[in-house]
Amino acid sequence: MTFEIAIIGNPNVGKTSIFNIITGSRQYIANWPGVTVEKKVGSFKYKGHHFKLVDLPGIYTLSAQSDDEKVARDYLINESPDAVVVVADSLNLERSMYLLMQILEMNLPAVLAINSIDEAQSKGKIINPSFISKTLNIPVVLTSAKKLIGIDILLESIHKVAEKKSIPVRNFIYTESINSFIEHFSNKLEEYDFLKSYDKRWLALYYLEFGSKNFHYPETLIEDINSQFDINKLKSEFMNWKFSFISSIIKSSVIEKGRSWAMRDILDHVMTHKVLGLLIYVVALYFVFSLTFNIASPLSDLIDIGFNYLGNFFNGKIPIPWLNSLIVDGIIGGVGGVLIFIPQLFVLFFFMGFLEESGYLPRAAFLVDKLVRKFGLSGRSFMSIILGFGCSVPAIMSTKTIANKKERMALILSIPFASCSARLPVYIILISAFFDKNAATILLFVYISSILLVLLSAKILQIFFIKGEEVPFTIELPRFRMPTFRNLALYSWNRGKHFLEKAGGIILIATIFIWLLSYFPNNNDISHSYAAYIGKFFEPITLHLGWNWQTNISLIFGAVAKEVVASSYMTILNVGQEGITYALQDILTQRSALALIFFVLAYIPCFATLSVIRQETNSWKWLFFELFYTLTIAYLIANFVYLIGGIFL
Amino acid sequence: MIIPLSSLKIGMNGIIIRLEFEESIKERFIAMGIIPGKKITYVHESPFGDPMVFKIEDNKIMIRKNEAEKIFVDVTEEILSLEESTPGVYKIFLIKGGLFFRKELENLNIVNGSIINVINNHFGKVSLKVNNKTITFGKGRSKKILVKKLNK
Amino acid sequence: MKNKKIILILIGSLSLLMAFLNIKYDSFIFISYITVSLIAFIGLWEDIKNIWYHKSAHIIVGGIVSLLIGAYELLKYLFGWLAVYTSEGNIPEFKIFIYLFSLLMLIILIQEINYLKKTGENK
Repeated sequence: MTFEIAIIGNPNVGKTSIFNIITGSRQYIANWPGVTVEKKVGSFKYKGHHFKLVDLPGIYTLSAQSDDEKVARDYLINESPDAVVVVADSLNLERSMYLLMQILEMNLPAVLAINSIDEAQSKGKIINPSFISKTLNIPVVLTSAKKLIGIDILLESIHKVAEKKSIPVRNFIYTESINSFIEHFSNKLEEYDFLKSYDKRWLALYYLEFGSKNFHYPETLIEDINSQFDINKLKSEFMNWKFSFISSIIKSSVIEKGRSWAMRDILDHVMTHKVLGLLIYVVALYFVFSLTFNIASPLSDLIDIGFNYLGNFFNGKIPIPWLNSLIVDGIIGGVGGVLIFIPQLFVLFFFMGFLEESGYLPRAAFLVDKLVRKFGLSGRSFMSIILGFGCSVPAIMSTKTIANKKERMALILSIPFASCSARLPVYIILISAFFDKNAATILLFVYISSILLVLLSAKILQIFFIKGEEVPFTIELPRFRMPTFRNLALYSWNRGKHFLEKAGGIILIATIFIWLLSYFPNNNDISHSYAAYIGKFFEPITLHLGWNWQTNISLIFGAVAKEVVASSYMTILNVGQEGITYALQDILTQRSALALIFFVLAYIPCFATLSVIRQETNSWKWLFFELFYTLTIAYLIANFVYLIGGIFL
Repeated sequence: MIIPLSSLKIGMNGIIIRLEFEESIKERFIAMGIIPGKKITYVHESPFGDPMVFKIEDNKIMIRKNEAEKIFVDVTEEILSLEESTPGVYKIFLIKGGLFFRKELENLNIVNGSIINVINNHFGKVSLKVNNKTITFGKGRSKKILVKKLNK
Repeated sequence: MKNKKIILILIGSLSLLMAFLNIKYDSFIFISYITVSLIAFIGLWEDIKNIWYHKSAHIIVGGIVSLLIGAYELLKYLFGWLAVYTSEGNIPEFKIFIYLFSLLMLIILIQEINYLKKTGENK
């Protein structure tokens, strides 16, 4: 039989580290149904039993206002796990107790793990777990995910709690008026059959703490309760009771407080400095980008060599010409073209994981929050936008930790406007063919427009298309931690794998489709293929921009990956690297090339990005919205640039 | 004296008195540890003055200014910049600014902790008496000197 | 460590020198050295909050950025060799002084953290 265990805790308490230690690599990530919150599930064996470990989102409260909280609360209500591990931070025990109390009110079998005990010890803080354990009647374990302290005892406690099945009685001594409220509320609940499965005392307390907004309390019940009790007064009485209860526990179990200064203060003193803080931020970003380039490009070349070899190996071995072309040009060529980005992706994930787990990210958010706030974004979003200039895929995946869902959605749909590195080759062949003298100026303009587009788009989307509640942007600056290589490897491996599983299919189908368009009906004669017909079909709306069907085909192929626009031109115009400049000058004017550059900047994100949008928004609707949206914006901009270009060129 | 959190000067602390948010948001702040009765200190300024980072016990929390305006704290001592001062007796709390500025003030016998007497404040142009000498600071400089009012 | 002023001046001027030696080599390394030198000089300069660890903080963060430079240079060097085979890249340069600088900063960093652990007890 398998036991189901949930693990929950405030953000930054080392919950994920404990999860990683217990489950190792036997874990996978998915989405919680219906929402865009990441679900992490792992498994482990202990004393011959199978355990399934579910990592709930890091939250402060079960109020069920944000998606994260709702997922956690609904899971706890509906799945009734065999044990809930509440991970608390030993240096921040009091705050973690608030969430623990909410878990205990739900009457769940809980185990408290007080983590980072090594850090507490090195600061001279001493905690006596037995007092908490006796008062709340739950197992309490002192752990350290970093130093591997207490993990065995934790597993043993989980095992015991899960096997016991019955939940120990916890009699919290509330005040008289709260007790009579609970009594009355529970009696009233008898009248409602559909609430039978819930814990009655919990429903009463939950109503007291959070009101009726986040749970389907029957209206008649609410009316009755509100007429009998002064809810506001009771509520503050309940909260006061809880605070004093928690602080009395903490007072008795924290034996020694330890010294008050921390390495964190020392690092923050410089890292949040007005000038130096920003400069260090620039260095950090620069570090990530330069290294990604330095590390990933030889690896990408390696993959390229591999796929070329594979293509050459199969080429001519298959007697049927169309099948040969399908395998060599369509599948091997197409998939290879996308897989070239994989090293870049993994390396970016790795560094992103480093910034996230070391605790630097919130500091960075703090420094630049004011800059992007006018656009409805928070400082946290800034990092994702900047990552988008490397590659949209990790950038979109990095929005996962943005708590405000409205902001996050707007960001996911706007990040593709950030000019990723794959677009650069296209700009370069166009610029070198037409604007040799002003190359730097044009490129600068493109990148400035790109930033503006992302920001404005985020704002516009939030005004018109995306609904959601305004949540105050308040984050914690956690202690700095040195991430372990193991955790980082798991972080990037999980995300990379998740992406490949979800996106691989879409990318493969799309590349085969593109191959079909270019191969048929006239056996590999691109100029007379379906793609060419489509290109000609669109000529009426592109000809006034000076784009003929050859340009249109290249743009269609560019949906595979933006850099393909450049190589498609070479194929269609039947020229090599050297001849492309003259060939382009034949079919485009300066004005139309400029419009084309801006169109390439904004139009349809590549298939990999589209599939990651589908994966992160969890809906096809937003994928198609994004297609239509970027295409419209790109077309409008191209026309605008063409118009303005007419004045200057 | 009860003032909003946003009016704290860097390094100042107070006791949280109340949070004036609607219930759901209030609960969120409380869950993060902003609990009435706790001591809160303004520890880090951002490059643009907003948001602000506060420390409660071992906890650092970043709060935007418009939310900090709705959290009220009791401060035992009010700290303000010289620019905002009215005539009266003050103690120097903190001198912001570079080495040269502080050296210059040191020569005038103004260091952290010295007692000054503000004579008048004309739109930030402040005249003050220290050790029987009268000195006048312009707006820019008086902004950089934080003082604590002495009740006499 | 005592004589923090001297250490900061040393870090500041040494990293400034390194910055100009590497101005053409790599722009990330150039900017990082400039940052280290600014961290050191500002540590010398303003101390508005009168925090006891002000100078130590600047030494430590300067050290951390220097370690980043070292890590960057090492990875760049190693993957540079890979690029020689896969992408027909040039043979990477071995910049001994960058490693020596990072090593020096590592020693200073460890010394300073030990000093903090000792004196911090009483604060």
